[in-house]
Amino acid sequence: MDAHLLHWILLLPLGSAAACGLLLRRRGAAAGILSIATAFAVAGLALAVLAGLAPGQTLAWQAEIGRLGGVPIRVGYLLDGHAALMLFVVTFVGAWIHLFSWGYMRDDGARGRFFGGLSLFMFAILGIVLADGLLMTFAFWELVGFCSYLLISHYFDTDFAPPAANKAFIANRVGDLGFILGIAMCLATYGAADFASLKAAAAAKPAPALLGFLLLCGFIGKSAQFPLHVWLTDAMAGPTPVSALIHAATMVAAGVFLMARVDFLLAPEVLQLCLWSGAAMAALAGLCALAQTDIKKSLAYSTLAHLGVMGAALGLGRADLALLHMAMHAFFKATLFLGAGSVIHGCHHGQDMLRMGGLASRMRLTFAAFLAATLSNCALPFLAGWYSKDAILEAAHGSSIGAFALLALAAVATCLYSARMIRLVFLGEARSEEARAAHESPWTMTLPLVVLGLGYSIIAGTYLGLPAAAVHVLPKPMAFHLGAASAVGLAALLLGLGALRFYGRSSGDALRDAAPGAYRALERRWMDDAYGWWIDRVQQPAIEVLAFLDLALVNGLAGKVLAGGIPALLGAASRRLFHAGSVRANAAWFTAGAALIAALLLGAL
Amino acid sequence: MTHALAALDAFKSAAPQAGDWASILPEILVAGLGVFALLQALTLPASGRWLIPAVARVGLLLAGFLAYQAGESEGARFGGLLQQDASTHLWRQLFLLCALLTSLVGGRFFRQRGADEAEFHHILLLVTASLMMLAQSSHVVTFFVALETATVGLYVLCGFLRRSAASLEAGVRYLVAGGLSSALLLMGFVLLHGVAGMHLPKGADPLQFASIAAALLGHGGEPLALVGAALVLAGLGFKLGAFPFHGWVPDVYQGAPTPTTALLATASKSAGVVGLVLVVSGPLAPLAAKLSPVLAVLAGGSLLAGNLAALGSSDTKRALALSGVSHAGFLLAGIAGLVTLRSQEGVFGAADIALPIVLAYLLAYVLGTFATMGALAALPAESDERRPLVALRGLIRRSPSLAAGLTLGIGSLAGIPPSIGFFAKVLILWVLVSAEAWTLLALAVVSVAVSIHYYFSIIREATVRTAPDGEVPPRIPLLDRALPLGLGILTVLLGLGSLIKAALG
Amino acid sequence: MPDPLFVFIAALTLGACCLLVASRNPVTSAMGMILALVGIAAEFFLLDAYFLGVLQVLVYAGAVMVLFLFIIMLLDVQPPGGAYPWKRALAGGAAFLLLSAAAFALLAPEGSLAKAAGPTPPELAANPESYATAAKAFGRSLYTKYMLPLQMAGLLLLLALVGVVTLAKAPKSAD
Repeated sequence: MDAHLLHWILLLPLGSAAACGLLLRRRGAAAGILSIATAFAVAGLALAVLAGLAPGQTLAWQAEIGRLGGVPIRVGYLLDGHAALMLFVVTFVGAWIHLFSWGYMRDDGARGRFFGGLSLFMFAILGIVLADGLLMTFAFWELVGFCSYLLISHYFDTDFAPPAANKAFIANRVGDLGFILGIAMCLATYGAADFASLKAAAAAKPAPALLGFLLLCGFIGKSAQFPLHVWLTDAMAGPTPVSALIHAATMVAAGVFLMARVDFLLAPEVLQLCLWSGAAMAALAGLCALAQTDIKKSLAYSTLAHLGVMGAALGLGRADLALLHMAMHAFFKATLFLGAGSVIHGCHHGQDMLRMGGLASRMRLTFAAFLAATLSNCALPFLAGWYSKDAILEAAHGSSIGAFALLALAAVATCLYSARMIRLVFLGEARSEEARAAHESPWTMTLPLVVLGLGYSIIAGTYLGLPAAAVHVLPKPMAFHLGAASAVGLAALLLGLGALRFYGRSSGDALRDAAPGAYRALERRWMDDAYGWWIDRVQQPAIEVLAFLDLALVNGLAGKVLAGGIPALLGAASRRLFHAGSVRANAAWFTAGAALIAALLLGAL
Repeated sequence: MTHALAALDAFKSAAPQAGDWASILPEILVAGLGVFALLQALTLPASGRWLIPAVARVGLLLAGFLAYQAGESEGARFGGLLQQDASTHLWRQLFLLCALLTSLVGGRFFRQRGADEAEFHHILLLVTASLMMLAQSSHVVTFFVALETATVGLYVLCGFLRRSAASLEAGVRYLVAGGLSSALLLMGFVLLHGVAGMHLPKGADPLQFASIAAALLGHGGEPLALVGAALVLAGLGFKLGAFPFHGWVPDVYQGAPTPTTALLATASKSAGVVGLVLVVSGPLAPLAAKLSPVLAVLAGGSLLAGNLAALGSSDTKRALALSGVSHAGFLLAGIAGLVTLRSQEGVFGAADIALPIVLAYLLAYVLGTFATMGALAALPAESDERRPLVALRGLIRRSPSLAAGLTLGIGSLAGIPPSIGFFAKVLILWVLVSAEAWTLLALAVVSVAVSIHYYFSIIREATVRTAPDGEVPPRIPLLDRALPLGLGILTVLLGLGSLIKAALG
Repeated sequence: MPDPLFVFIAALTLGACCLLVASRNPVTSAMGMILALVGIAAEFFLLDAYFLGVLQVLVYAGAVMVLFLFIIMLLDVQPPGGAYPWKRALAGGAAFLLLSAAAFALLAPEGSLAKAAGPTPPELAANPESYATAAKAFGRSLYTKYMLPLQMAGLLLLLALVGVVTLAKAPKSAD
């Protein structure tokens, strides 16, 4: 197996993006076909590569593209077990979501731009997957952020999409600042930034805590960890396939993937931080999902919760579990988003769950897939989500009881909001005209739902259908046994069943009716408020003080007096002396100048 | 009779040989092109007049190629009237570059204003040819004739827009100042000639640079020689636009048509530099120890006077003219450093690098000036001699490419990294450090800081401030927009190239 | 003591120069200039440089000055009114004289004031080709050794000619 297939995997999407962006901007259908064909071709190639790769075997390739001041700049691939898993998830899930987009974006006027963006995103995320070092990772990391920006602001003529895109971009920038400082520190500490050398060097000399923390910043930004999580819910302003692909399955998981790749650089303190912030976010975001009426926002909080779970797994030092959950989550969360997309499509782009209901009978296939993915999400034993989530719970139980409690709360919250979603969207009576007129989506949308939902969300936990090369880094599928984790899981499921009944009681939101205070507390976006407070009360006054100082000192004193007044005076004096505008004065200065030089030469001065 | 015939043979042997003419092929080509431009104007129909600038530009490129091919050929030509060495060919190429850029900036500019392109190119090419001759002169006669030819051409180019009173006035001002400076220069050479004639053996040519140097070697302290040297420096100081001979600079630069201003700022200033370099390393070389403080005073004065006068200037061309005085100061500082280094350690070592550094500074200055002036010339204005800073307001919206070209050009002139202007300034400072000219170094650094003020006020007007609403963006042809932008980008690319080269050691 | 004739002509030339600078009437100034140019021609004759002297009279005192006078008359330049600024003229003249005297005292080579203009040096008298009948020698070196500057001067004249035509021709009426 040589690496040249990897070139194709990486560059095909780039070619497709270039073709869509430059040539097919006005030919949406052609762009869509090209982009989808590329995605499937890449998925096929990736499967071929993975099939040819024995478990434990790594595929590496490296080339020097230039030197800067004697430092070689290299690009390279490192396809190890982690990358193999990620490669499979990205290309496989990506391909199906591409297909789904065909139906979902059917009536969109800017399909060329959309599919170009999707292809560019595939190029960028594959770059991260294949990169063999931090520098190349960072380059693609930024490109991924840019694609996310591009796709969130797809509906740029609305008033909510552009600010959401800005928010995502800026929050990511904050994290990336830490990341790039971390890369610089890597270079300074170890003199290298490629994973192989770093791993060897870190074995000899453990990384300082600061380095791990800086790299963690990149993860916090990209994977929307606390306190930079605020962008992910707004990012739902993008088209639903984008939410499924970028903001649920792949891009946000890239942070987890990166942390798994550099876990040897993370000091124990960093891991502790990661564990607690992850666990806390898992619980809180899960509860917040209860107070969202927008189906996509609710799912976004669910994504946050799962990212928190993955962060906690990383913090436990179990990168393998984090990756496992990343993969399982990708399957069922992609299904959930696609299902939501199918619902939204069926309801003529309504996203309010309170205006849906009774869709189970009208959209049977969607309902089946959504239900399967939801159960997987709730960690029903022997479904995909159960294998990873219960393993993480168990690991947490063995190491920190506080984190375990938080994760258990998250598991309960997951079951609650899942039940609420099913109840509001699919069961009961239709609560609006759109819901009554809903219809099943075309096959291009249901086929991905069937594959990802009825297929992978159910069976993936046993590694059925996963390439062998990717599986060997993952833990053995666990067998069912009664322990603290499974007890919590079962209790949560029972609570979920109760919630199904609870939400059936009201035509609106039952929790809002029963406990409006709690609902509002959960609905409120505390962190956004905190940022708002910081900006309004601290940053703005500070800036006003600075602006005043700038106006008074720099503009007034330095600008008007020093830079304006004194130069003007000197300038005027100099101009009056030399440039009075009279030819005679010029001649006088000529003569005086010649006399001056003569006097200097003669030594008279 | 036999006696007379023998004398005739002596004359014949002094006549130029074929090899002499071949050595100045680029100059002959350029001058011939100048005459050809007139012939074209007589014979071409109105529809074919576009050929005139085209032929001139192609010819300039060809001449540049010839000068480049001449490579390292060295030696005395025309019986010692000319002296070629490696730097000669670089100077030639610099002047050719200035001419080409002036032609590109000026072509449409003059056509739009009803001035004759053929005559413009004729004068431009003859001026260029004579400047190229100047760069290789090693004899008072060739030196003076070449300088005069160039200056006369520039008088005409200053007044070229003769329906504009300002242009004509600029021409007259330049004529008066130039006449006075030529008189000073000539008087200085006469005094040097006198000293050389008194002390040289019979048969030596007291107008030859080398002979003057030989005479001054023993008699450099004579007042006659010193006053002669002072007058020569004064005459060249005018060409450079150096303190205290810079009184004419703002008025003439402002009144002259903008392409002429660019030519004055670059080619004419370069002529001053090459003249000064030739004089201080030729006839006045024995006076080096005495010359270097004088040059340092002129340099310091130019740096101060140019920058101070430019502060608070409200006209773009005027501000750039005065900044040109400070650039003359930088060039003079480089030459002062060169002279100091030579007087300290003979001909070798750091002094050898000083001359290429001065040339590099000129190249950076030429690129920056043409980027800025090109952008100015492309901008429509009610009258060419009034280009207030406020007229640039909001340029970034009206014409982003021109604003970018202007900003990059000014950035290079101001010496903002990573432009080539930054490296040029750093190199001159390095020369000053090598020459241990601490006062001049301090002045140079201060003047760079001061210059930021007015350079940035131009950039600020063009990019940050917004124009009043409702202004219609002017329609500017592609070439006029591409030239400043291309030159601006070139300054950055060259700067980055130097950076990478320096980084790689 | 220098040649009395030299002193006389030099004084006359300087006086004419003062007239040229000080007079407010342009025609008087022009006359002063003619006198000064002729005086310099006379000094050339005293130095046995007949050819240069003749050229000086023909070209400058003759052709150039006639042109100047034509222009002055064509333009009908009027002298400015008001009282003549005697004080400024006198101060300027005095300053100029002082400066010249100082320069002369400083610059004149040792003993040159006392040296009389003697007869033509014998080595020059022996080679009349190069000196006495200077027109021939002048022409020969002009077309051999100084061929290049001669050509350049030709370009200078062409340039000046084109420049004058450019600046003086009537503007195109079309635009």
